[in-house]
Amino acid sequence: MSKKQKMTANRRRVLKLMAIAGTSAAYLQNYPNMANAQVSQKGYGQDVDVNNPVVTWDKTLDANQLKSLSVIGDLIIPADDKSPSASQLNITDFVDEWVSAPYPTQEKDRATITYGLERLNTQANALDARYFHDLNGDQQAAIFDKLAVSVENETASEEEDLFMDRLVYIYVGGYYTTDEGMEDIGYAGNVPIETFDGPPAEIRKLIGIE
Amino acid sequence: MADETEVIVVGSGAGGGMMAHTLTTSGVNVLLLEAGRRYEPESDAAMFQLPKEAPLRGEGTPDKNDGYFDANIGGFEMPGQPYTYENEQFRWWRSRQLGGRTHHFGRQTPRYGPEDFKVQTMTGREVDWPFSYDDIEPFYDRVETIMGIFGPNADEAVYNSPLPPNHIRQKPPAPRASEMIFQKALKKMGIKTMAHPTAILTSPLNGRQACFYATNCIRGCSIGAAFDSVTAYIKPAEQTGNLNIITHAVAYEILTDESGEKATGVRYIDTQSGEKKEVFAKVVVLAPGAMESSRILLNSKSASAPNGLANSSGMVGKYISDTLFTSLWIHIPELDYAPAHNEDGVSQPHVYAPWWLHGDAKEKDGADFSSGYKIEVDPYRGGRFGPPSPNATFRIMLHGQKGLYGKKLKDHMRRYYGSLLGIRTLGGMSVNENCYLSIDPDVKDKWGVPVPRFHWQWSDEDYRRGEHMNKTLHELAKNMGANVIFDAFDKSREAGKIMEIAGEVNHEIGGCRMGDDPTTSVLNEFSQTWDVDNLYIADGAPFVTHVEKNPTLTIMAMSMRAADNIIERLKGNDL
Repeated sequence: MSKKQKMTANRRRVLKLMAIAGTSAAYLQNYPNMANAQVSQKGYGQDVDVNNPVVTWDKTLDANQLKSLSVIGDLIIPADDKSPSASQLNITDFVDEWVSAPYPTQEKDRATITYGLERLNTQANALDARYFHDLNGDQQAAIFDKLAVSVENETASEEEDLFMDRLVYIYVGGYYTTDEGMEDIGYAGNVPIETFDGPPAEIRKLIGIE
Repeated sequence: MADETEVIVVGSGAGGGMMAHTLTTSGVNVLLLEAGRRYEPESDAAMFQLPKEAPLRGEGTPDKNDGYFDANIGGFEMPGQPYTYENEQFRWWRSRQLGGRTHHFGRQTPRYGPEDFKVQTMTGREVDWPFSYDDIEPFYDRVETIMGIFGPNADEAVYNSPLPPNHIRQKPPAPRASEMIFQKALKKMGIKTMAHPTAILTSPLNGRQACFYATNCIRGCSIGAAFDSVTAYIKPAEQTGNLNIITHAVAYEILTDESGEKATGVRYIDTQSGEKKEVFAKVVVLAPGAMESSRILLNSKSASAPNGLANSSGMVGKYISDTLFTSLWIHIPELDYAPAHNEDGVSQPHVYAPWWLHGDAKEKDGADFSSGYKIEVDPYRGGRFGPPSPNATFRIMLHGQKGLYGKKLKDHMRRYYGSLLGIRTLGGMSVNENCYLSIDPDVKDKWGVPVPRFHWQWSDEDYRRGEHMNKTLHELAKNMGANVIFDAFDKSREAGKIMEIAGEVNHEIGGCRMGDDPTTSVLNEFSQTWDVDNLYIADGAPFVTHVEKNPTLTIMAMSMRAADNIIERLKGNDL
């Protein structure tokens, strides 16, 4: 592919993303990274060095997007007596890595999530706040719960539905792969053992097979 | 090392590696062409790396289809190396590394049974192979001895699913909790289960270590416990001093003399320089992967072979097939909130149910299709199998959970981790004339070589087999006390298909099938082409039928049989 073709393809992709996100010029002023986000991004290729994994692309979300996401991350995965919250493990940074990746699934997620954030900002505007993260905690929780309930009741728009689904998927993926997350759900493997003798007595008892 | 290359082997995977091993250990001088780079399992395999260490938590991408740590360089899409398809979509998995796909291989190694080689005789459908189980049995024994295998006690064998003899097999690992529930349910249904024959060591062998029951085999195995072609075949072959390897060599044409009846060598592209090069030998063996073998023959046109080399029968590229696959995602309430315990195991199924309906029982059941299917717990979906990751673990856990967040979400994760998993069936395919590859008249790869165009169409028999597989899985779920949360078959059925996309099981075989008759087959029973005396094929291309047994072991057994034939003929100066 020539350099020119590549740029054209990227430009087309950005334009398409903007179309999906219903992007206006004003919107782009709020999110300057979005217009150029995909232009210089590079995937890790087919032959990676598994011993030195590298994220080969830049993170592209801006400070306001990250602030709002951090609030939402903690609504999705709050702290409790067993494990920390999403923000305590900096999972929003992983979300930034995810939506900035130059792969089709992630590019679609980027459009879904930036659009969803903009919708939340619109609701914040109605409460005289510039951004979702400027609202107080009760307001944030109420708006997010309303979204979740509408998704559950299937009254949400397709975009809102996708926004919720994908955000939860990415936050869960980021969180429950950390040491704290794996410990929370009880993953006990990835250790060398001499023999594999099947489940321990307490599990055998649980399933009624001695 | 002898001065002259006697045999060129194209491809270093299961078939090519086995071919090089058998030839070189018998004193034959071999040149091995590998399209990709050197791959050293000891240093290149990702063993204990966790998803959190990888970009995107290891999630599959177009660059690394089965995740960042998968030991495969290539996959379904490779830049500059396209392929095309007509009608139903077909996806073609490729590897570019020494050892080929054996690093990514699931290591399941069941033997084909006596009926599987005589499908026409037994069922009146499809065609018979030109040899019988008795002919190939000694080669199964020899291959299993070299690669190392665990499996059930030989006495447990059921009809048409033969097992390695006890002096070869190693002891299998115990079943996991979910597999115990799986076994109990199948027992209730009158279906026998046993350990799955698998090419993983549970005791040391030839300097290779035993499995330590952690990290997924598809990442490659740095301790040599899981079989791969580099560890078990190519390294010992190199030690003989009889093996030369050229990497980054993409073979694309077989050279012949003027008569077209003798192969003289191979043309390849040196992918590092882009140059086209030629190598010569007494014998040429193709083992670049079944689909690539057909492509190379069809692209090797000359005045004496206008339709491609070894294609006087017109059968090159015909009768390709892949494994029929369907699965259910289920919830086992008994395992909700189960205390933490380690279920990594060997990363493959520890137990399975071999196909159980034969003869009168099959007729009574109304199972109106040739080969059957096997049943397993899916070690790549949910459960506690390996470090949790977005695609393998959380996709099933979040399936259908609309609007779930907060404290409820955290509780959901604690409750369902390990109690949501997949059960799957892998079935045979009734080989049919509507599945074939030809050469695309327009599309070429980045080196200007015409690419394959796939044609795919499942047969009515496959639909009936698929429905039967699906029905059995639902019965099994019920007997496991499980709820079905997702049925992949529903989605395919809606689309009027059995599987959404063909080729995705990576068991694509056929295209140069063997037979007794040069007018209806490409190869004789020793995988030698009818038309070109000194040209052999040692990958999955020679397959005649596609049964529910994973093909790799049979590829290797046939490769070894072909190698013996070559050795004999070299000794008798017949080549």
